[in-house]
Amino acid sequence: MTNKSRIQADPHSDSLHELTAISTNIQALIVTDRIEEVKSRIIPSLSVSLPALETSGTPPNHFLKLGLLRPNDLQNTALDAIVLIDPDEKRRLVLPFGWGAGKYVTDQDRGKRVLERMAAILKRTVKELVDEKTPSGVDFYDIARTYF
Amino acid sequence: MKHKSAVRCNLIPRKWVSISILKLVHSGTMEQPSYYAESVTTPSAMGSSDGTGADSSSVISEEQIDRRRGVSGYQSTEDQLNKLTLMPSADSWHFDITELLDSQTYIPPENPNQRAGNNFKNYDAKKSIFVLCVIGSLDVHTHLLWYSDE
Repeated sequence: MTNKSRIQADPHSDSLHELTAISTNIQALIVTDRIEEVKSRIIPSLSVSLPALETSGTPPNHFLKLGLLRPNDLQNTALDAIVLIDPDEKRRLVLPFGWGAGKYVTDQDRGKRVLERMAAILKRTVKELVDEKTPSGVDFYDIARTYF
Repeated sequence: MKHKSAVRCNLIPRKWVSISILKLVHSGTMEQPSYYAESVTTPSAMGSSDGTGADSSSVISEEQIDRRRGVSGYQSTEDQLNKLTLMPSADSWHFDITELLDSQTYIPPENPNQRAGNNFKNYDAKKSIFVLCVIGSLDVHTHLLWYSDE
């Protein structure tokens, strides 16, 4: 467990604040099978309080359906991740933390740089998802006005 | 004319015809969109969602692979980070949001030291994007949501 975060909080320009500006209907949630620990330790340590959902079952249902069960793990631990689900209920992005591209996220030297990249990727992909839902073809007038 | 073309056909050895057909089939399979290539080279970056467990069940570790490829671990991380992009909708898994929202839910009480991250009042089934922080053994990604790169 990483008890303390090396990231400094800025209440006026946090990542979730920026994501909400891009998509006003965005829902950020914690998915866990250890709700008591999340309630007592993790949520109080955040500067933005996030709702938490408990996954149940053996193996935990939501972890299984997100494809995030750690392989060959009898404890059914989840692979830490941030997952983007689009309005069509499609799993469009998995940001790995502590594995894959996010293997060095807790590394003393490299961790901060990886986190910066993850935050940027998250912002970019949320913007892309919003753009997908925005009907195109309405900007012709604006384009014409710019050029003529 | 009919006779002529028939002769020309016979002039081409059958072997050549089958080879060129094979080539066509082969090039057809190669023309996959780029995201396939990405998921093949970095299964872990895209999530070991296929259930193959490419991460911890593989015989050699990622470090060992990195060493064999002659790149530092960080360099390969950079490559993997560059490949983290949206998966095309048609190829993405369906994930039941209704079932998710039916789970036991904990809404944190108001706290003067915290900004409320609960945005359910703006929930719109047609527009809402879900950002799920899946907690395994870390919590660093929950902190990412208040991190700013600017």
